[in-house]
Amino acid sequence: MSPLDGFLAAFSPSLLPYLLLGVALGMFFGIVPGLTATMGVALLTPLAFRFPPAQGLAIILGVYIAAMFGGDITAILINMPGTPASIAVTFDGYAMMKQGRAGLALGINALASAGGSLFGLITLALVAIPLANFALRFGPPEYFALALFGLSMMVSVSGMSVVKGLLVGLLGMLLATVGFDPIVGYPRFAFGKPELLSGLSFIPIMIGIFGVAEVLDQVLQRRTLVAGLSAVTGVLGRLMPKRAEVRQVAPAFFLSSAIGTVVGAIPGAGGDIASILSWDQAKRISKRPEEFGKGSLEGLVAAQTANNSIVGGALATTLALGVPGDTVTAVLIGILLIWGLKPGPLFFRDHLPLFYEIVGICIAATIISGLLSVVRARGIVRWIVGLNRGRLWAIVLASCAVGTYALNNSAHDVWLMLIAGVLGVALRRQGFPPGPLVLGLILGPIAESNLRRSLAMSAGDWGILVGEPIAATLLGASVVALGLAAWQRSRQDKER
Amino acid sequence: MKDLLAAAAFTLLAAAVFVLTVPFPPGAEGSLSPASYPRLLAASLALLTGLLIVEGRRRKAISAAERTDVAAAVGVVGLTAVYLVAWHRWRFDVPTVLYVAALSRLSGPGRWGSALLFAALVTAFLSVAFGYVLRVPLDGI
Repeated sequence: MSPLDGFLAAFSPSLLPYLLLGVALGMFFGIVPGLTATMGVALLTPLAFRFPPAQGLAIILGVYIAAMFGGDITAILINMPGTPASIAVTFDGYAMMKQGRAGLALGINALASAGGSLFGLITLALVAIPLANFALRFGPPEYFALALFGLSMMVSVSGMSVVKGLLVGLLGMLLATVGFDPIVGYPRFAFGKPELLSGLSFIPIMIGIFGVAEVLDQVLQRRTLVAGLSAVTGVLGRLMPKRAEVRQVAPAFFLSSAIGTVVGAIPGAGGDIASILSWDQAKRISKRPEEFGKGSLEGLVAAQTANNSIVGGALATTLALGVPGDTVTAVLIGILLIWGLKPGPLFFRDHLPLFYEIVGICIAATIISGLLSVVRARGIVRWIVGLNRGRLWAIVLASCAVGTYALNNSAHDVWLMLIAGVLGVALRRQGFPPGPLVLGLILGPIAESNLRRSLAMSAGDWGILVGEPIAATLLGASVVALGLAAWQRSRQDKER
Repeated sequence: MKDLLAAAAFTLLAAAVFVLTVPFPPGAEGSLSPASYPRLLAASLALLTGLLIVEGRRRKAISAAERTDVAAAVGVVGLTAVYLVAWHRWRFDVPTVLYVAALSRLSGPGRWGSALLFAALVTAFLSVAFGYVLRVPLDGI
């Protein structure tokens, strides 16, 4: 079978039922709060094994790609990112929802997500090996710098105060130190509780901070919510952007596609970093930066494009090096190994047609997900805004509780979610942005383990962190991003 | 005042980290101990807390005359806590129906019958999706 035959095989009618099943389940996992793409892929692995690799991969990759689309839908409609990768989508997507432009936000979600995903996959097909080779050059100092870079980006783009953003980010990193020390295994801040030894899971905290806290915040301001919902009910608005709007968002789209693909190729760096970074960069090149965070089309496109274009980059690293680009591709490696397909440089030599079939499956899944999210978007938004507030709160809170429990069948996680929800609403009311807390939790362990490995490599010499060009560049960029953000906020304060 | 309360909370947290890390073992020569990284974060928190106070003084006070329904929010948290205990101690379906029905009546007066029917549908969906399809053991968590 030639590479072209492999690619075309992905579009054969025999694969379509498997793709549709994967995409439908992926949408479900993305839309329902508490469920994630990783969980969906993991839960469907036993099902995928029953089929040959192409059919099994159609289910798994369908879930992976459609969950990205679905997560963005809840981020727009109820300010609840389905996954950390959708956090940046809430900045402008939810603002558009409150302005009565939910239809346009969902239409753009489908187009930008599909476009970003296709861009990443075409790049995967063209430059998989060189891109993966670059990511291979990352060592502990680079990973430490990358973690700080991701956090500094989040801080620089969220909230009115850089200091408040940094405080919340550090709080997240501090919470991430609960449990066994990553280097010597010493238990920290566990207070004798076995549940705390493995650390605080970030998904219950993420659901609490974004889901439960959002409901509590809406309960606190019930008058505002009534006005907001009545404005949206029945006024879904158009789904498709106008030609002038497409021209306006084009630079943000191409920039974010490139950023998402490159970030996706870096092992461990996922859509969360890519979307925040892209949102920030799009703001910098925008002619209307003041609209970012208030319902900007460019901001929405940047966040959505980036978190979908990582798929191509993540698959490049996974297939070319056997190193997972994110948690979903970590599960994917396990599945490929069971089929006797070993990811790594030899994968391209031994299974080149399958590689192109994988690219084709991803493209087909992207197209189906895009079509489904446009067709279903209208129904979803009408159903959600048509519910009375109490019923919407009830669905969200019950789904959060059951979804959080289902992650590890743990009651401890559900309590953690509730506590995080209370903390989240307290932080919001005090003007602290919640995003950096979750990112600090995700990036904290990466930062600590790589900082300590770096220092062990250099016998305690901190100079190693700035001695490597990639690490030095990332750290320098972090300082510049924070400095610029602080300067901009200070200028805005003076103008007020 | 708002920032002072937050600053006090962050300072207390930073102090607690230093106190709690005292019994941690020292690290090997040339490498960080298990206490070093949390202390580094706590010291950064303390430093930023100072900046927060300075920033709060410089920033013009913004009036926040916003009406909030604190009792309702506390009620939702309390109701959720009671629901979690009931689910934990008893079973999933009945507490979930009651919880969803109670929450769905938060938005104002309505019929209990309609709220219970809605709650039963939501609970049935969650039971099928999680308990049957995903095989999550929902009872006796």
